[in-house]
Amino acid sequence: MKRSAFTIFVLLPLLLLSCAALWQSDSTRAIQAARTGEYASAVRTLEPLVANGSSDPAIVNALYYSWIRQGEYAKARERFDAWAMARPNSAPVRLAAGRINHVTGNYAAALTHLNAALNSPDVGIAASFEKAVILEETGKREEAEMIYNRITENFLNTPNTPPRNLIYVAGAMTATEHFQEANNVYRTAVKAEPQNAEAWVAWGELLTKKYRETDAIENYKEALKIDPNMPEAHLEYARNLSSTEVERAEEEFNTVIETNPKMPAAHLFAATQFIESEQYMKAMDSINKALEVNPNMAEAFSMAATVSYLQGKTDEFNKYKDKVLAANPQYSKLYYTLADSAVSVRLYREAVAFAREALKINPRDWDSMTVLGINLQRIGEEKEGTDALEGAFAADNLNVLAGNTLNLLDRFKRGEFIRIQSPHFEIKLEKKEGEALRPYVVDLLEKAYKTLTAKYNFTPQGPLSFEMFPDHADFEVRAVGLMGLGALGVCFGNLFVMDSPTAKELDHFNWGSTLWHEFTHIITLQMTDNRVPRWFSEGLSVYEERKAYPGWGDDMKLDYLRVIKQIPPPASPRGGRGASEPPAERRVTPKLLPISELNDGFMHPKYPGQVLVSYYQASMVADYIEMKWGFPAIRNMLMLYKAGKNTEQVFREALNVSLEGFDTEFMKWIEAKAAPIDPAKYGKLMTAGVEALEAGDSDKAIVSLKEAVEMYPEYTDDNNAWEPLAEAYLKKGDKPAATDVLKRYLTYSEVAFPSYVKLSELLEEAGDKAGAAKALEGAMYVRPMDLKGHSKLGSLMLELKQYGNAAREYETMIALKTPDRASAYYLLAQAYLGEGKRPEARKAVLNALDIAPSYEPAQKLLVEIQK
Amino acid sequence: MALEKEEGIGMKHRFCLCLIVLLFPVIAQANSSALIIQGIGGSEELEKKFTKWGTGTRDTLVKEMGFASERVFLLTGDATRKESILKTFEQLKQQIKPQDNFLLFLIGHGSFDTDYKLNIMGADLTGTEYSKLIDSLNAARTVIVSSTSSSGGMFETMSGKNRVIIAASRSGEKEDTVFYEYFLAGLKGAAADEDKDKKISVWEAFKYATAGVDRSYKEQTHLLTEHAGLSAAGTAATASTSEQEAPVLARVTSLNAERTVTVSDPKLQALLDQKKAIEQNIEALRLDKNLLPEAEYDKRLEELVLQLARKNQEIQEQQKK
Repeated sequence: MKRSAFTIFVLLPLLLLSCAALWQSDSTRAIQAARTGEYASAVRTLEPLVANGSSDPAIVNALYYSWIRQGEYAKARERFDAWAMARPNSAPVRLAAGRINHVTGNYAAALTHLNAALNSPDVGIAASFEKAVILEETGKREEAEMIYNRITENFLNTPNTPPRNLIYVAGAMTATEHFQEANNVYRTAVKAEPQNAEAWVAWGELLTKKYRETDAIENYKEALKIDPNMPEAHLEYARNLSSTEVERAEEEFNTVIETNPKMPAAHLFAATQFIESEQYMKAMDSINKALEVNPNMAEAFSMAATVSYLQGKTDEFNKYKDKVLAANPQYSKLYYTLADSAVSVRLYREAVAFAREALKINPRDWDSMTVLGINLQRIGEEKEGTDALEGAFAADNLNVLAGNTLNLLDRFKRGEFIRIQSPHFEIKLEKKEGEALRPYVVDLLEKAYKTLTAKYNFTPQGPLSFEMFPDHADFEVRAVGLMGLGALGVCFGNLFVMDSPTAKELDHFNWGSTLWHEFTHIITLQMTDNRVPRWFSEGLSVYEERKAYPGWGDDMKLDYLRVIKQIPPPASPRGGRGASEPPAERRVTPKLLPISELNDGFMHPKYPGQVLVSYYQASMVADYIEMKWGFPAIRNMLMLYKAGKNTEQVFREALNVSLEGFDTEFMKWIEAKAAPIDPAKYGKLMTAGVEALEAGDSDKAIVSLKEAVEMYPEYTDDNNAWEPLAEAYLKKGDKPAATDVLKRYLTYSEVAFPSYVKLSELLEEAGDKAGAAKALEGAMYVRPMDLKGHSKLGSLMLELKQYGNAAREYETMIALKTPDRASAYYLLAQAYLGEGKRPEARKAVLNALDIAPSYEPAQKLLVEIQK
Repeated sequence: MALEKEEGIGMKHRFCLCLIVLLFPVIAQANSSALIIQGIGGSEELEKKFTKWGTGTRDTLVKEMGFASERVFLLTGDATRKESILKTFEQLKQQIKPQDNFLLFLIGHGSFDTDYKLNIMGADLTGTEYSKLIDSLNAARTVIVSSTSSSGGMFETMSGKNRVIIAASRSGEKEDTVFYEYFLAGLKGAAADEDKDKKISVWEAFKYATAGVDRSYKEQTHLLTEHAGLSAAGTAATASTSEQEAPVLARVTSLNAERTVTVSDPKLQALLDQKKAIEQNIEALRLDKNLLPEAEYDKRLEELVLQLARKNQEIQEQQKK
């Protein structure tokens, strides 16, 4: 006994020491597991430790995040509340309890817990910051600011703030609009603790807020290197990619949901995406998922108010709005959310109204002031818009949206753009090219106005503003305030802007069809009070391009054909994955979308090229409706949208068909259209034809190439069969057949400049001057600076006595600084005289004679004008 | 008062222009000679292009611009060696009289280090050497046109009194140029004859080519990498094609060979003289353009041009007799 007692006596301290060491080692491993994304494993070790009384801040913190990141909100709240009650003096536990009560919407309890932790040397700053956030969210902005300021002041007055607290300092600085300082503190924080994933993410959020997405993404990547499962990092990564790499963003989002299926912020992000694609039911489902975790979440209610508003459910809208404002009368973010969502569905006037409401509540809501400024510009209120942007930028010179837009507006002010007033449009064109583009731009805008207002029996409300930018970056800034927009043009209901022809690669852009497309949006947006869904508005714009000019508007390109025929996408050229290419097992088989999801094809494409496929599909839907029900049905649909009907109701009432029924019939129709086309066979025919042509056997070439174009006439991209077929006929000397081929080709292609010119020559040679002029005019929408083309077209127009068009050509030539200005003025005078514009004719001929006084034809014309 | 001050400046400017025109050597019974030096291409493609420009220039001068074939020299290949060039200048010296014009066309690759050089067979001649050779000709006016890269380097060593120089590029621009393509196009069919006087002035040819280059780059949506310049009578080179900045020597110097027209019918001669007087009145009015309100200018121009039209009618009727 003695011996055993002695043994125990001697060994007990050693045993206890070894247990403590074991415990220490287990907890360290578990904390590390929590930091590296092994949340479940971490919880298994950490929960018993905290349950058994550990108040180690690192342990409690790791357990809290391990639960939260797995979506264990209820369990976390239940356990931390219980532990807090049992150990009211444990500051780390009170902090965790405060946080989980905050996250789950129990704000009063959260504050109680946090108040108990405020003086803790370990977690006091964290608790103070959390408290300030809650106070701010519950309408106590002034109290919150006092805390934020105190945190900042303490930091400034304390030489060695522990690195773990720096993110709260930076957070406080961000909340009090000291963005540059906050940025510096975050930099210090990650330098001091490079393994602090939360710091990387928090800094990334600041960078995102300041539109430095590329930098922010690097931060999220750093966080994910530390914790590959961290839902916050994946979510913010997805948010940053959502407008540029949509497929990758979706992957990131799916990773969030796999790890934390309940994460409120993730569901609200999903709701934003659904609102953008006008899928309001799905948006509401997502909002409700967020509310399941936090039934008092102001942001969720703001979004619910948005969805109700966009659906025209006024009572529900008011209910949600009142609920938000009752809880926090200072919550201007309600109106900011409404304004931002209104923009995403093109309700610019409404966005302005909501932004104004936001500023009434909080005149320092700079985000809302920016939204106000940009959207005032879009609705034609330039002066007030500029003032708002200047206000927002003065308050925050890191505001890229305001800064970029103001820079561009300054260039307008400095006279770098000419301003033109046509009968229905206020036009801005860049100074260097403006005079050369003016005649055609004015002519086409007025033609579009005349044609489409008559067709839709609708007169849009002015002022209508049109702007063209030779620098794509300027266009991007004017359109969205930021770089990275892939579009060619954008319409805001009153203002529409686009790339100018010189912004694009030669022969890859038809500026005329783009202008027509954007003006069609003016009609469809204004006609429906901006309620037309994106897919229908885009579809009608492409549909109207096709009606406007032979060859304009997209046809069935090879990529579209592949989607219709469900041909798997070709493998990456290098056999490996591209930067944003998903792995093979997650690659989506491209297919056309049902109407109910077609907006997603524009807003959240799931495979490369889906946006263009969706434009094509939407335009074919318009074609199909016109073919089957006639154009009045399209007009009727627009009126129903204006009346607030949803797409299901619109199809039912205007076409007497359900969406599913329509989808079935439409798919059958489009598949039948694509059925005879065999791309592989086309390739073989094309190769055989070109080889025969090169070998000098025109007859053989014609057989193959003709079969190719008959099978797939809409293929007009590189290596199409149309061009060599025309060449084969020309080699054979069969000009009428070549003419016919080029005519047909140009009913599908809108950028084939050489073919337009060749067709014009052939038609003129055959005596068809009107046809020749029409073909050459088509070429000018591809190369508007082609002096030779304008010169030829001018003479054709004069011969045809189309004096207005002739004048347009000579005005363009003069603006293009034709070397023979005297002749151009003389011919312009002839055109004016033909139009009956005698004073203009006199002035033009005097201009000719001012350059060349001895120019006899001009002298004679002056004599004639004098008579 | 401010208006008076502006008018005063304008009047002074006009006076200067007239004075400059009067001070230029009078062209009477003048003739013109031209030397085209087509440097080495270095590649088949460029050789082809330079040959097209060289022979194109010779043919246009002879067939369209009134040059006698024996007064146009085209040196290519081995004939571009220094000794051949010096020999040709000796021949030109014999041919050119003090009232004659001399045109020098330099086609090919150029370089500029401390002086401009055209790449020829063997050792290259420098701009300074060319300048001395030109001086030795003692021509009334000399026009030098270079198609080459770095040709702006000519301005430093080849500018001088009664000389107009056109360079296709700046001295630091080392890429091949397209300028000469448009310059030659301007000469053909009198395409560059903006004022329809059936002659192409150096200024008109420069403007025509510069506009062509500008358009070409715009159409290709490329950034402009060649900037042509013009210097007249030793003044600083300009790249501007604005009429207000047109050097007078460049405006009044024609690239066409001068020819003297004589009329035996005294009545016709009188009408031609009257026509000339009206044209001079128009020219005087044009010089006043910036001083007059637009409507007033148009009114006066209209009156004069109508007089000119009637005079042309009378001349044509007299010629039929």
